[in-house]
Amino acid sequence: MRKLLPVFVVFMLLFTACEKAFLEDELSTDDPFTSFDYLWEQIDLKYSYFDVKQIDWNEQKSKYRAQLYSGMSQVELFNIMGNMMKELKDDHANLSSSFNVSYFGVKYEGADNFDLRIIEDNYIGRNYYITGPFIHDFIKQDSIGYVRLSTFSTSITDAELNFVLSRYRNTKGLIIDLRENGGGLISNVFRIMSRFVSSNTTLYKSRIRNGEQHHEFSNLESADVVPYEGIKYLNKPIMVLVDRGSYSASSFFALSTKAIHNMYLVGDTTGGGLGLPNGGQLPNGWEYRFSVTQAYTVQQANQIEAGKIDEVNRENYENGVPPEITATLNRMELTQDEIIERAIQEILAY
Amino acid sequence: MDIFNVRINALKHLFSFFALCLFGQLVFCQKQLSIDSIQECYLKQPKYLELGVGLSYSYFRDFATSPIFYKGYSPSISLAYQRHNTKNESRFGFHFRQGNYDFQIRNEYARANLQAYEFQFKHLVVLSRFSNSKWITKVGGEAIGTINLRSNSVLNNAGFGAEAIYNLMLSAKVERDVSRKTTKQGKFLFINYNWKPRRRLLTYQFNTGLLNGHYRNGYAYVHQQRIINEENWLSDYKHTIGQGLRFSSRLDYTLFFHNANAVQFSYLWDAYSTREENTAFEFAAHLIQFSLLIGLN
Repeated sequence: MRKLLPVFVVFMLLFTACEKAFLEDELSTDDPFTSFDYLWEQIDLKYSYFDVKQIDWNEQKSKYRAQLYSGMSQVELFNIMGNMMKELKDDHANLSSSFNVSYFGVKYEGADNFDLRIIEDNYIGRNYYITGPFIHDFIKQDSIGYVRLSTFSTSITDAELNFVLSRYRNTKGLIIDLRENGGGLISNVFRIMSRFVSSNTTLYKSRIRNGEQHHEFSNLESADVVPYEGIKYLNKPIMVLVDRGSYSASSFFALSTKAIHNMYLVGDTTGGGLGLPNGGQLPNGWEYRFSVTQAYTVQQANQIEAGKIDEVNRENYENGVPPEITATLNRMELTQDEIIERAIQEILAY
Repeated sequence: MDIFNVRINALKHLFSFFALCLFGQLVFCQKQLSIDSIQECYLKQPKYLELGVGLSYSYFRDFATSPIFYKGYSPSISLAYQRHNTKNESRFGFHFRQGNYDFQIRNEYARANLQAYEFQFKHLVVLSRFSNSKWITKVGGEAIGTINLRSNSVLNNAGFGAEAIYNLMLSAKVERDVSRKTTKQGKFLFINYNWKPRRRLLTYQFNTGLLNGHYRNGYAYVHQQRIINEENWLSDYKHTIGQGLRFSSRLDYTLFFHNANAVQFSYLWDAYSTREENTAFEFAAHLIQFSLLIGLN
């Protein structure tokens, strides 16, 4: 058996700690081509809106890869890759580094339709209530409740909603102002919507990319909301004010209004952002994110299931959920907010 | 220093004192055993409780979110029950490891946290034909289930990762009796030593994955449950069986005390890959472990 000792030792040396033999090579690198190709491929494999937006992704690769060269600076590389991502026209598509973040800026595609000072000076004064993320007060001789929500980033509580909706329970209608609300926690959308429905309701449907081809998706899944067992606001008109700055969770909120008969969008088309962004890292350490899901109204989802995908794609809600009532702010007129005025008009005429 | 910290420090000292007492009790205060062959030793003391602490250098990469290896040192603990006899050996164990894993290129820096929970069951049989009083050779299998919980804030919605890796391993083990049978006396530099007979054992075990499987995220890695108002974040997870690789090995040096308890110094290596195209999860760890083996007879 003594002869086995060297065999034992050799075996140990050969087969211990040799993981590099079967793990893939380290990819972290400064080579601009490697990081560029990696980003392009990740988007190609997982981005969800190529077909809806009619984007030729191979063409973008040719256009931007031709601008690379060995030895280029990090800033130059970032700008080229960031510009390639902007071709997606999606503010959920971002490239992040320690020195910059790229974004498309969909809100700049429309007019600036919101000025809080006009609202303070002409509608809610300076003593309005601040309840969690909501600022709110009565307007139009206490006949209408105005509720401003500037972000979905903080979690909205039941107590906050109870207070706000109790206060306006005797009004003729409600205005929910989501202009320039860039989104946040989508759970807030369901929490608010549960106060506006009297039965289980499918707000919209969503599907997720699940294959290498641009058109490969999961089945459409319903986003359902259950009515809140407590204070609700039902059967009265609710005007939801939106503009191009209403993005992501705000667009989901806007999309959800299409499923509720007494809720109406007033203002401009939203900014979109109906795709859930993922997250990832490039070989050079930069981070990226982009949309991997698609959301549709129940009606659009039914059309897709009936094979009418082209008709739905033409509507392209990812480019923004359109309002039922179009209105714009006249920034030269500081004594009124035309969008609020139009909402008041609709409520009073309801 | 506030009262809370004072109490915490007092508790630490108290805990250390009791741990020391327990260690002394286990090492010095049980029945005396003579120096036997390994086989005889196992006959006399077939069951052990293994308590281990260790420090590992490990690294991992999840291609689904990043092509970059995250590397770090992480402490670990293990708890196992061992049973030996002249014909076979069984071990059922739990291993926990947690640590921070870093990555940096130029000014780009990120930190991930990984918690790994591992369950192991091993059964080996003695190959009599290849065994004698000095050497014992064993073969058998080991089932390993590893659950990883990971977080990395720079990955946004993909910042939380979880997967289960399960493997049925083919195992081979060699044991070499390196006991000191007689007292050795001498002087090293100016230090006199008097080493009494001590039972010692050197073992090496190598495992290779025979049947590998995993339970991981779906194609897009992130799930859409949060945007459809559902809670089940495992909805797009899927089992994959027959794909992946895993290798591991373990080198143990065991010093038995005269009361049948023992201490063990180990080097463990473990590496695996789920081997999916574009989305493979890869992991490798090198662990130094110190264990206390408590005889249960």
